[in-house]
Amino acid sequence: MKSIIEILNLSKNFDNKNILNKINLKITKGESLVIIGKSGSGKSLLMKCVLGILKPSQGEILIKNKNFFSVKRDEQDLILKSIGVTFQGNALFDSMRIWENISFKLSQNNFFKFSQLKEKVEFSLNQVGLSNSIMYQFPSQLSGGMQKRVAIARAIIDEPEILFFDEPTSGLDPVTGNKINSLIIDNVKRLGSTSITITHDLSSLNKIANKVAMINEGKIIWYGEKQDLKKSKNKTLNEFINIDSDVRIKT
Amino acid sequence: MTNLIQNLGKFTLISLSNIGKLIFFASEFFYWIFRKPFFGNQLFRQIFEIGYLSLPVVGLTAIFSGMVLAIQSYTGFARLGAEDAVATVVVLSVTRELGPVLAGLMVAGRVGASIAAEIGTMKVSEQIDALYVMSTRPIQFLVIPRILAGIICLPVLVLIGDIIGIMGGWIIGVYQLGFNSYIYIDRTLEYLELIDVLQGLAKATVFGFIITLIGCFQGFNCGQGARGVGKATTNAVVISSILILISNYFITTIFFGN
Repeated sequence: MKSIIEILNLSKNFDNKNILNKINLKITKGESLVIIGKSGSGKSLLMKCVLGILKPSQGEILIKNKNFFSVKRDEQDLILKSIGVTFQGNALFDSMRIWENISFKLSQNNFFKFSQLKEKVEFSLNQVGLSNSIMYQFPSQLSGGMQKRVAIARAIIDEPEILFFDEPTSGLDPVTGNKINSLIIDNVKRLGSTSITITHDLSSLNKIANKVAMINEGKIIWYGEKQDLKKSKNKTLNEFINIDSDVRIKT
Repeated sequence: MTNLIQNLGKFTLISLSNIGKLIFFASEFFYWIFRKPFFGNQLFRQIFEIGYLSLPVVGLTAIFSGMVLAIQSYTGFARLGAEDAVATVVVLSVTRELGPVLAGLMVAGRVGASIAAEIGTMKVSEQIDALYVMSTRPIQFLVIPRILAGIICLPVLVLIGDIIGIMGGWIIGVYQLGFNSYIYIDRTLEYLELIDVLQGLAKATVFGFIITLIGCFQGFNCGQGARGVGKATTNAVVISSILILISNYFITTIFFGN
């Protein structure tokens, strides 16, 4: 299968401390990869390196066969245009209204009339189950779950080939979290995108993933199909995926 | 003793590193200012925020400074029998020094802090990362409009502040100290030269650059969490205020040093 993202021997150090250690990962087109790991294991850092926000200390990142850090900024922009991202804290622009947030990427990179932008924003809002009435509100006027949906609407508005979701259900109740997981699946399927989801939420893992990678202390300690998770003999992985049954309320 | 030397060395290294970062940050501004895209709507928004919304603060500071200056110079000059010089002292002090410096310090408190807090919050809440992944350079979207707005607005604010400050002096001169209005205005204009006003405006331009540059720099380099944003805000006000006073000396020397 053709890989859309290839991470080769990626390491990232901060103050001589090795946070990511020789990560190798191939993500094929159309795949839905979920990266799991404990808090502070380096999951979000890996995402930031792949997106070019942070420069790796060592290694290469190939996105659509182009080495992100050795191409010119114009080419980096082209690569970034094919990527949609939702951040852990949503990262909605506080000073902009919802429609401005969602249409930001389109309005910066293309020449659209206001009516065209509005139409696209409305479509995107509908795809995440939100009403058009919130278009003129500010992010602070919305609940956490609605902000999460707006962040997804912003990520999918230009139908990107690759979608990144960083902790999509963090800070949400289980019901809202479940709805967000369903939205991710529906939209990834509709767009035919490749998705990379970073989470420590096992319900997201169960619902979204077809491939799973686990990071622990900056290293990939397990990678494979979701159905093979239970067969794994990796102690750290088993401890992580079985914790759910330990805390489940017994009736 | 060893600890003292170590701490001094550490402080020197950190300071030099920060100066280097600031020079690099400023050079990025000059590099990107001539490159597309240009965010005109952001520039207008910042002109409103930095210029229009600072008018009440600058106006109030200017009028009371002008009034106090008139009273102080009158009581001082009365000892020498030179009360007639009050109008001249007020106009020269306001246009050359008080107008630009007080407006600069007030705007540093209002705008510098607000820029550092806004950009700092954007940094800690990943909004700057979001800009980047949406193919928008944060320096072009956030920094260039703010610095340009600072450079444009400060001279206008100072010019308005000068007029209000002189008016403050005139109000006290005529209604409290008993000067003839016509003579007071005549004395005000008699010794005022264009260079006095231009020097004040030159200072204002530099102060506008300093306030917005430091505000943006502190915002971009702020630490994590509320503490980081708070520290960046304080640093923005303190550093820009100090730089305003230092640069004020050098600009005055350039214009009137001889």
